Amino acid sequence: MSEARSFYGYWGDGTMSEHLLAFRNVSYGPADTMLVTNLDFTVGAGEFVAVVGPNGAGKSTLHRLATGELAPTSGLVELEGRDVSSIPAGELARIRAAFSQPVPTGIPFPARSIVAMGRFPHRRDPANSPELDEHAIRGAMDRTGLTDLADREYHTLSGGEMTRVFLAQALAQDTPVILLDEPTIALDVGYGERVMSDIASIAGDWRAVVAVLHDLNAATRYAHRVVLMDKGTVVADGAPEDVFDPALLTEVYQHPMSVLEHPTTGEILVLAAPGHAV
Amino acid sequence: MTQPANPIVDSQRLRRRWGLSVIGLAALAVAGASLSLGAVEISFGEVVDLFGERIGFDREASELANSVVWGIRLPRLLMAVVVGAALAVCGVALQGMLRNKLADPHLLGIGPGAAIGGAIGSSLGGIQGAIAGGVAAGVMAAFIVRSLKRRATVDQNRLILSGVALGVALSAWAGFVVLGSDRSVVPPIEFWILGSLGGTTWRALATSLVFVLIGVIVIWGLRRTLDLLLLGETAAWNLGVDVEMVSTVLLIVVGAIVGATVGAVGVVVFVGLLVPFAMRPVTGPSHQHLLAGSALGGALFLSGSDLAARLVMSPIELPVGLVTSVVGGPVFLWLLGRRHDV
Repeated sequence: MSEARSFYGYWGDGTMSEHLLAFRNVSYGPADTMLVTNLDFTVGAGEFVAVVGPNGAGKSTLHRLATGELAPTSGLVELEGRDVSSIPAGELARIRAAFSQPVPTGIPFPARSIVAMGRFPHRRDPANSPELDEHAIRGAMDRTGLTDLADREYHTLSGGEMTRVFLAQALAQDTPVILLDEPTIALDVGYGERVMSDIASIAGDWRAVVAVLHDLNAATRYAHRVVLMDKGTVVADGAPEDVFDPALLTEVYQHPMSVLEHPTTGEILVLAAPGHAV
Repeated sequence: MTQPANPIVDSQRLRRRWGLSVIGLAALAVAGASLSLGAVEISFGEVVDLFGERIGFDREASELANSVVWGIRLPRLLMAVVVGAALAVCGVALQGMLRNKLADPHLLGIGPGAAIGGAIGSSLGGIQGAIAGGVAAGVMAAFIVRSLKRRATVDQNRLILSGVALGVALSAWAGFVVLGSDRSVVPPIEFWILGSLGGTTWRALATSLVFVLIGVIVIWGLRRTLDLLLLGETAAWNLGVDVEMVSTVLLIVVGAIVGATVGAVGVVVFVGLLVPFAMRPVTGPSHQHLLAGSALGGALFLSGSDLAARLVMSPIELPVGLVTSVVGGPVFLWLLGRRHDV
């Protein structure tokens, strides 16, 4: 899908904003219990941002604000420089693809049909064609290892395979912004790593990828940038090696954490101490 | 993916072709029988002569055949075809929109609501008034269902049960309206709650056909969107479906179609529920095939039921809703027992 860049000409017509995704002082929630407060950051083309933090930190709320599913209580979420709430649903789906857990169950279609639905937003695009649809669908299924499962009925797939079907759908959507909420949580190690490195390479195609991740080590290995959240606010934002400070992580996760250097690769490793927090 | 032949897709296609061919042939047989059989027997040859004469061939049919077939049986047959197809299509649309295979316009109370408007309308303006009133009340009832849906998004069974309760209450109100109005112009309560195709005129057919055609075209245009709604509202929204707007459009359209059929022939139960349920194994889940197949199946089911309603206890004519219920109830139970994915 590296040719994907030429599909719709998002990059090069000069109309694109510098930031593909921007949170402008965004808060969301009922007055006394804000779920997120004053989120303020931007994501540019080519960036792979991992959003991490403990349960209840507001990660999924951030994801749903970015997709446009939730409208901010105050502040502004922008995609390609435009207020998300002003973009009609059909157009929004050509700008951002979204994946979230849990994936739906009990859908009576074969895997390939569900992946192909990712092309729905482009059905009336004059630049689109059946060949481009086919190319995008095949590429997405190939990347997620679904080619041999194409004709399998969705409800006969395992949980991890269902997750891959919806990841493939988001990839087939072929958008400049890709928003993922826990993309690897149901996957085994092999597919988890494969999906993460694919996501990283997709970001390399001058797209913006924002992924909510549980696995801090996956974030250090693949993401360019980590946004660490706690209690609805961003507490650190930067390169993984800067954000993953043992003292900060220990405070945020309320659990003793250490950060080591991998003996052979030199990557950083985040480790939680066994047992209960003191 | 490299080999072009795909056994699963091919077997589905084969089943669809055979199934739809059989249903189509059966519908033609029912149509022939409907025009020829009845209190006045008209041979099939004479029916053919009659059509020949109409389209300009050198054929001649008797005056009697002309008035019975052209004036009575043909509009009635076509009304059965239109209403059967319309109710089945509405069933498919509601089931897709609500992600619930038990959704049915009459079961959810839209039909009984339309009956109130139909009765009021018929006291004001005859059959056309009944259809207009049915459409207006059908759309209103659809919006009551929408408010039920908002409150019952988590629990789907609750939605169906609320709809049933709403339908029973609205049927009772339709009864009050009918009993309180002029019996000489408003059809009796049996007509509204059991339905009847007797006395269908070309004018009634044309009036309801306008609403049905427009509505069915809109639903057909949303066939891929209905496929996406099966993924759930969030996934559909992520793929660019404005779920709120699509639901509103579908409810207006279903309310109008159902209202037009209720104004013309009363509430005929089970068509919207049974036909899509029976067609799914034949057509597969994609709405393109399911809508087309259900329209054909609905046309066959209602025209066949009406033929039975005319002949079974001849010369007494049964309300067509009795036949659809007597046939539909057991078949539906049988289908429920056979399939576990409801």
